[in-house]
Amino acid sequence: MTSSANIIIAVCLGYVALLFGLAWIVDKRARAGGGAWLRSPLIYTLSLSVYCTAWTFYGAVGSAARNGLEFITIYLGPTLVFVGWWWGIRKIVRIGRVHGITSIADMISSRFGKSGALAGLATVVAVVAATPYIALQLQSVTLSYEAITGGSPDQDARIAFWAALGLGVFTILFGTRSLDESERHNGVVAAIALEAVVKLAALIAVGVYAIFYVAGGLEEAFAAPEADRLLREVDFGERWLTLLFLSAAAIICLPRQFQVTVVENTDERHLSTASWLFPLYLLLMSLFVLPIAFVGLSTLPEGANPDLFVLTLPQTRGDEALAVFAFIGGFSAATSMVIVSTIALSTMVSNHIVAPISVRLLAREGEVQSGDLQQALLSSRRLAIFVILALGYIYFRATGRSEALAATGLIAFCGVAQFLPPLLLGVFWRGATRIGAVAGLSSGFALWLYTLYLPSFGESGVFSAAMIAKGPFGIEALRPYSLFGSGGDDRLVHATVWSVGINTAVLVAVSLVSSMRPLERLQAALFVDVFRTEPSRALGVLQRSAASTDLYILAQRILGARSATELFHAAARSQGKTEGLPHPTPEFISRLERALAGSIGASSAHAMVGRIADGETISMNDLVEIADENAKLRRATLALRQKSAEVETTARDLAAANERLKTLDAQKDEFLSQVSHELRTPMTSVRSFAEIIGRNEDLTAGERAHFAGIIQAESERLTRLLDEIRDLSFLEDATPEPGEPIDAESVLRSSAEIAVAPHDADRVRLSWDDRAGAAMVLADPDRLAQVFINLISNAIIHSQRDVAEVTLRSEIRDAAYVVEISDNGVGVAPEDRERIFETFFRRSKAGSAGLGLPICRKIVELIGGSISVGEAAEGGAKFTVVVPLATAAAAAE
Amino acid sequence: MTPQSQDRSRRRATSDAEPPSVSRLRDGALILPIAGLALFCPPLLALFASDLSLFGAPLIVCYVFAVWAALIILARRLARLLAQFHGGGRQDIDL
Repeated sequence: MTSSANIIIAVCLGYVALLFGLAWIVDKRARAGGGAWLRSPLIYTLSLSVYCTAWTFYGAVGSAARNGLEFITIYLGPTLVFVGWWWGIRKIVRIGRVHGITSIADMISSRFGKSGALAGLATVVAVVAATPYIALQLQSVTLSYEAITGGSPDQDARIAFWAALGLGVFTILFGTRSLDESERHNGVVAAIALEAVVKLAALIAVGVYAIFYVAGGLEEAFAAPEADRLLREVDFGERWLTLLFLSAAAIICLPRQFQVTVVENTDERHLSTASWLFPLYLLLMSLFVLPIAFVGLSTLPEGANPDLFVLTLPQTRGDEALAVFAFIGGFSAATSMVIVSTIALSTMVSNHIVAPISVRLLAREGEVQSGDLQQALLSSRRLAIFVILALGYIYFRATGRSEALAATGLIAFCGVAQFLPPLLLGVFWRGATRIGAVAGLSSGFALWLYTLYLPSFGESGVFSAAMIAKGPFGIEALRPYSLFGSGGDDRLVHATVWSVGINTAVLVAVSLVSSMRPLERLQAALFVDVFRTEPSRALGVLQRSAASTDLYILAQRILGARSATELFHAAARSQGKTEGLPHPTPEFISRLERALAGSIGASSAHAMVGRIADGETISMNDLVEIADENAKLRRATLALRQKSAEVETTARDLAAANERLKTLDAQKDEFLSQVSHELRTPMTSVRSFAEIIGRNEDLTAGERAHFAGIIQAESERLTRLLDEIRDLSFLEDATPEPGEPIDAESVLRSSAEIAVAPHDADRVRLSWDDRAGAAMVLADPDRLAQVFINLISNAIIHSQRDVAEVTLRSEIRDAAYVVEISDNGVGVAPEDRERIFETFFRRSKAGSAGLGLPICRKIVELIGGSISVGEAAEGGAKFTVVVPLATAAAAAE
Repeated sequence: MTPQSQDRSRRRATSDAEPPSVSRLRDGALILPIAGLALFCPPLLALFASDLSLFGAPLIVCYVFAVWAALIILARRLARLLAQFHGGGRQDIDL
């Protein structure tokens, strides 16, 4: 059962008209400033799906029916590249955005010193590699058209011709409107996105139909007799790995993938969404491939072309509508690939082959008018589109319909994989040189031509059967499918290993022995360190001089009058000029060159500017600086971290010092208020008794003497208090000074006698425990005596017993003289043991103002000793004074 | 200032300078494709080439699609986290 050719042609034309309409409206909207929805991550991801061509739509099922699971490698490779976007594509996209890259050839040539030769070579490789791929699309459109209309193979040439012509017209209308790449192809992107949805929907529809309608369930779908064999006998060996590698390389290196991923990227954030959404799209595309293949194998007649199962499965069962939908899906897949491919390739041809020729035309004097070069280049692009389609058509005619779709596609994959070594090494290795890249790429390209591309024309093609079997001139070592006797059965693995391997090896080896020109060095640094270099930083490195008018004329010829004027006005304004042309500073010339590069590629822009600018030099210092940017940044970051750590420490120290000052301030306030309080008490009694004596004339001599005695006692107390305060403040500021060597034991003995003397002999019992004997310490004897007297007096006063028992004990311990003064009093509560050494801390009303112990501690600390309080055996307090011996103190110094 | 609060503020200061998980996220972004490659390569893949089937589909088909889906889910999570730390990702400078 077949559909009438007229209906199919009408459907196709209708569909193309729909695409036209969409592209036209979107282009119009975008020019009017709208179309923000076009710059969304979803549209970006859908445009990436141009990867899924007719090869996926028809060929994947064909591949699954022939080789089982093998088809899936073509989608796993890109998946791995995209989930690892952070380390690979992100850098390439960034470079593309920063440098205004227009194509993969532009990228490679720009990296290697804007080499025109390299750009031309890469363009040739890309165009040649694309021909089998475009032929594949023409083949699939032709095959599917014939299948659905019931046509015969003798229509091939006519159908393919009209398909190619139609696609060419569409591409020219929407792909070559302007020369400026920054004005992206909005209309085309919208059309591609729509086609992405259509082909996915069509494939899923056919898949669901095959599983649930034809087979009647998932289990039944996989029940084909061949299914088990195909799935079990997959060769998970070198071919599997080669296919993974080739597909991973193709997702970056295919000119059309580079176009949609890098050139048409409007926002780097879209890449982060595409990193999972694009693999998801691929998964959905692959999900139904195996069921369709197996259901096709078990239900379609023997000898049916597996490449057309997607179409023939519904068609043979009479489901015409679904068959037409499938046809449209395949048509979408094929057309979107051809459109984007030809746009990318024609850009390369016009920028890297036609533009260098127009550089010669530039030199010619004569009528010069604005936009003439622009027009010439646009025309060359249009012409290139037809040439590329013609090459695809010729390839299709030459190879015929012999090969499976997937096999043809893989020839193209292997061809574009030649870009991988210069691209990856160029982006990650600073040492890759232009000569190395040219040598590597040309040897890889030659090997690919020889081992895969030329033999693919068949035995009646370029190589004769004898030549393929026995080698050229009978030299067996040079057999295309078995170079030097290597290689097994698989031609693809053989060609890939040889071409990509030699390409990489030559690139590395030649780079190591060749030297770089300054511009190459600059570009290498800018590319490899794209994340670390300020984009505008590099503009001034290239020193050139040119006349502003010459530059203006050049810009007009390439960009057109309007764009050029806008560019020059903006530059003049930024230089602070209100009228006229901007100063031709090196920065401005570089900026202009970058703008031109967005239209005609880096190498051509450089060559054109080079013709009117002289004295091109690269400041070695700047170059070294840029090359060292990385190291510099690292150093700066380290220094910054160190500094911030220092600042942090300082801040902490300051905060601690502040805390301490606050405490001291509070202590001082407290001290002053306590001092005034302590002074007030004796002063009050002195004043009141003096008043009594003064007012009362009739006081007896006895009373008068009594009051005078009180006044004297209080005055003495006051004096003592003032002495103590003076002592304390003196000790606060005192610096430790070496005293004279004295016998501390004798000081203790005399102090004990002095301390006991004022008290009743029967109220105090002083006893001696162990004695240390003579112990020489460095101290002021009066000060040390003050400490001992104070402690012993305290022990007596605070005992609160009828008989105060004080025990003295002294010893030499750890090179220190240790005195223990114990009493039988109430002791000191543990929580008070530190506080009693604070000024004005008093446990009881008795005794002094509470300055004695702080003074003792100060004195002892000044001579390097310590004083502490603990509990005596009888429950009283035990004060321990430790003073280092003179020998130990001398040793310490 | 208590020692605890000092400690806390120090920790906050370091986390401002370099969120500890960013480097881990980058490692994750590197490990994900490598792990994917290992899981899709012959030695591991061949293990699943048996006549067992799951929900009517052969085991190896289930395995490939399950790993694929897992990669997509992890990549989505990673992309969101990386986008959080890097914002637009336009001016970020890698060291």
